[in-house]
Amino acid sequence: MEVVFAITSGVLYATGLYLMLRRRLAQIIIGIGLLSNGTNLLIFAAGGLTRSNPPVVSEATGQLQVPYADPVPQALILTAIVIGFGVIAFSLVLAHRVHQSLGTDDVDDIGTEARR
Amino acid sequence: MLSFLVLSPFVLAPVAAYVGGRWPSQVRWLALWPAGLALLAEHLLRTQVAVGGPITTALPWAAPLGLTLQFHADGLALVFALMITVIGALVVWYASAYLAGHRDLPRLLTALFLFMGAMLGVALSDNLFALFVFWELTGFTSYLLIGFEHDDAAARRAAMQAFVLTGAGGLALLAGATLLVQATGTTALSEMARAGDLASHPVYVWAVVLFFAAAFTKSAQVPFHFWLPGAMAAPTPISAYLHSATMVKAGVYLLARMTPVLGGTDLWSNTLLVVGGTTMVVGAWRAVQETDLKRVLAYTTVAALGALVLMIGIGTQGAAVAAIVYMIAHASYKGSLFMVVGAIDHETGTRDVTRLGGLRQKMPLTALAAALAAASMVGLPFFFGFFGKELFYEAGWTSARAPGLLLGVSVAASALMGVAALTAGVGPFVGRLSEVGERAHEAPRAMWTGPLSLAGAGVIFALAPGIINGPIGLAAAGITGAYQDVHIVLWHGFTPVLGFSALTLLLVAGLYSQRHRLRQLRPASVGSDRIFWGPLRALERVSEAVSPALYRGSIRGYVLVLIVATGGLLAAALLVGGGAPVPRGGLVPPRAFELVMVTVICVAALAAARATSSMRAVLALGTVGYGVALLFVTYGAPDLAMTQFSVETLTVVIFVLVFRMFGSFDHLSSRLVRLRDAIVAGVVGAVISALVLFVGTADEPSRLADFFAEAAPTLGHGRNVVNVILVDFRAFDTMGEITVLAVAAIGVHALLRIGAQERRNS
Repeated sequence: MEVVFAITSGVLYATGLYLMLRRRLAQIIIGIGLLSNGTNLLIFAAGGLTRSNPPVVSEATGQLQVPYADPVPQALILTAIVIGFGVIAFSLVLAHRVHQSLGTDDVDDIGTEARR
Repeated sequence: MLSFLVLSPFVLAPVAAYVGGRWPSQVRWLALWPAGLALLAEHLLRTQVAVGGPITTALPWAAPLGLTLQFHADGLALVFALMITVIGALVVWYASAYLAGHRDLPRLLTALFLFMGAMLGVALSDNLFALFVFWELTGFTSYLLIGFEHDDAAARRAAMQAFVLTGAGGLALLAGATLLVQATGTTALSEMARAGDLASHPVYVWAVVLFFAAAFTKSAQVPFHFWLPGAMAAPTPISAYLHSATMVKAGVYLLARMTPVLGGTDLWSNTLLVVGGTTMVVGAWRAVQETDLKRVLAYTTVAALGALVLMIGIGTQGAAVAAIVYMIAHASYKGSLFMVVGAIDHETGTRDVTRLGGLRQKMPLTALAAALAAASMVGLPFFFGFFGKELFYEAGWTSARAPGLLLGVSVAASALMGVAALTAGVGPFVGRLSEVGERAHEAPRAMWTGPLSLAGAGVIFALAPGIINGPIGLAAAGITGAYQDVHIVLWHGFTPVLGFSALTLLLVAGLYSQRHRLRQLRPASVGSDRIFWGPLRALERVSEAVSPALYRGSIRGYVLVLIVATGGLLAAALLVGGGAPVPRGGLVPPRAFELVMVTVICVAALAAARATSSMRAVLALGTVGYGVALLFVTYGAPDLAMTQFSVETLTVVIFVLVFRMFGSFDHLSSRLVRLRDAIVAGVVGAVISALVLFVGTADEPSRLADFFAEAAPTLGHGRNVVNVILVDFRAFDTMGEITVLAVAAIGVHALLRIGAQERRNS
C-alpha cells in the first residue's frame, strides 16, 4: 500500500503543479487544492501506514488500543487541511475580485490590465 | 565597572544623536563622557590591575550557546581602552567644530559612539565570540563613517571596499575562534593561554592562518593595505580616530592578545616578520610619494602598523615593550597630525602639500601642535616618538632572527616616515604664504586644543617617562605572558642603537631636501585596488546576465523556476544522500476497495488537469478531496476524515459562490508550452513519489507517538490524542491557525463587500 500511496501522492503533485503553471487563475487555485491533498498524503505516509485503531484512549481500559495510528502526523495534517482551506477560500475570492475589476482571469493579462 | 566601561557608549549613542539634533552648538560637551571613561580605565589600571592582577566580570547573554559578555581587563586591554577613550574624547571635541552646522552631525555622533563601544568591546572581551561580534561591529560602524558623505561615489566605493575586506577578515576570525574553542575547550581568551601546548595540535596551522587573515585585513597589512588610503574619504576626525589611532590597531591588538596562545612558533614569528617588514617598507615608500596630506599620513599609518606587527613577530620582552611604547607614541603624534591636517583643510580648503606654505603666520597654535607632533614622529630626542624608535631599533638589533636585516629596513622605513612627518607637519607652515592661505585664520579653539594636547602629551611622557613605566610594563605582560618591571629612560649611553637614531635623523634631513625628486619616483600602481574590484565587477556582470533570465516578469516563469529547483534539489538529495531505505518488517498489503479509491482519486486528478469546463474541474477536485478523506478513515484517522469532508464541502460551496467568473477552460497556452509543463510536472511528481516511498518505508520508529499516547490522558486530560495535541500541547500553534482563518475570513468578507459596493455604484 506504501507504493500505492506514493503513486497517488505523485499524481496529485503532478496534476497540481501542471495546473499551477496554467494562465487561468481558477485553474491555478484548483492546482493548489490538488497540491495540498498530495502533501497531506505525503505527510500521512511519512508517518508510517498502519491499518490500525484511531489514537483514542478507550474509556473502559484507560489505555490506547494497540496497534494505534501515530497521532503526530495526524495533528500536522489537521492543521494543514484547515490552513489549506483558508488559502483556497481567500485566493478564490481574490481571483473573483480581480476578474470583476479587470475583466480577465489570465495572469499574463492582469499586469497589462492593471496598468491601464 | 568593566561592563559599564564597554556598554555605556552604546547607551550614549542615541543620546548623542538627540543632542546633536537638538542643541548642535553644545555637542562638544559629549566629549566629557569618553573623558570620564578614560579616568575610569586609568583608575582601574592603577588601583586594581597594578595591585591585584587582571579583573573579570561576566554578564549572561546567550549561555546555552556558550556566549557570555565576559570582560577581562589586564594591562594590555586597559592601555588600549585608555587610548580609545582619550582620543575618542578629543575627537568628539574636535568634530564638534570641524563639522559644526553639518546637517548629518547626529548621524556621525551616533556612529562614533557605537564605534567607541565596539572598540572597547574588542579591547576588553574575554569571550572569543563576543570579541568577534564587537570586531564586526567596528567594521560596520567604520563602513558608516567612511561612507558618511554618501553623496560622493568615491566615499561609497571606499566604504564598500573597507567593509568587504575587513568583513571577510572578520569571518576568518570567527572560523579561527571556532577552531580554537574546539581545540582548547574554552571560549575565554584568558584561559586559552593556560590550555597547554597548542602548537602540536592538528588545527594549529589553520587557526594561525585564520587569525592572521583577520588581523592583516583589519590592520591594513600588505597585500590588504590598499583599503586604508581609500578610507581617507571619511571626515578627518574620523580618519584620525578610526584609521590611525584605534580601529586599524585592532588587528595588532588581536595579534598581541593571541601571542600567549598561538605565538612562539616559526610559522607565527616568520610570517609576522615578513608581512610586517614588507608593509612597513611599502607604506613608508608610498607615503613620501603622495601630495595629499591625508594620504601621506594614511601611508605612514600603514608603515607604523607594519612596524608594530614586526615587533610582535620578534616577540621578546624588549619587543613587547617597544610595541606598546610605539603604539602610544603613534597614537599621540598621528592623531595630532591628522587633526592638524583637518584644520588646514578646514581653513584653506585644500590638503595638497604643493599648494600650501607659510601658514604659521595665520595659524600659530595649529603650527605649534604640528611641529611638536612632527618632531615626535621624526624621533627627535625629548619627544616620545624617540623612545618608540629607540626601543624598536633595539628590539630589531637583539632579535634572534635576522637582526641586521631587521635593523636595516627599520632605519630605512623610519627615515622615510620622518620625511613624511616633515611633509605633513612642517611643510604647510614654513616658507612663503601661499595663495590658498591668504584668507586662512586660526582654527576654532576646539580644533587646536585636541592636537595640541595630544602632541603635548608626547612631550610630557618623554620628559617624565616614570609616569607611564607602570602601565607599559603591565601592557607588555599581556603579550609576553609574564610581568617584568619596565624602566624606559631618555638617555642610556652611547649604544649602537643611538648611532642608528642619529643616522636616521641625518637620512631624514637628506631625503627631505630631495622630497620633490622622491615624489617623481612613483612606480606604476601595483594594482591591489584593481585586483580587489575585478572579481566584484565580474560578479556583478554575472548577476546582470543571470537576473533578467530568471526574472522575466512572469509569475508563471517564477513558479516554473521554483518547481524545477525544488524538484532538482529533492532528486539530488534522494540520489546522493538517500541510499536504499531500510524497509520496515513487511509493507501493508493493499485491499481491493482501497485500490478502487486510489484509482478514483488519480482519475479525478487527471480529469481536473485536463478539464475544459470549470464545472468538471471543480467536481473533480471535490472527488479527490472526498477520496483522500476515505483513505484517512481506513488508516485510523477519523478526525482527519471528518475535517476533510467538511472542508471539501465548504470549498465546493465557495467555488459555486464565485462561479460566475468561470467560463470554459479553453487552452490559453500553446501546445508546446503545455507539453513542457506536463513534462516538468510529471517528472517532479515522480520525484515526490520516490520521496514518499523513501520516507514512508524507512525504518524510523516514532518516539513521539508513545510520548503523546502516554501524556494525553495524564497531562492533557483528554482521550482523543490528536485533539489533545492540537488544543493542548500545540495550543499556541492552533491559536495562530485560528487567527489565520479569522484574518482570511475578514479578507473574504471585505473583498466581497467591495465588489458588492462597486456593483451598486455602477
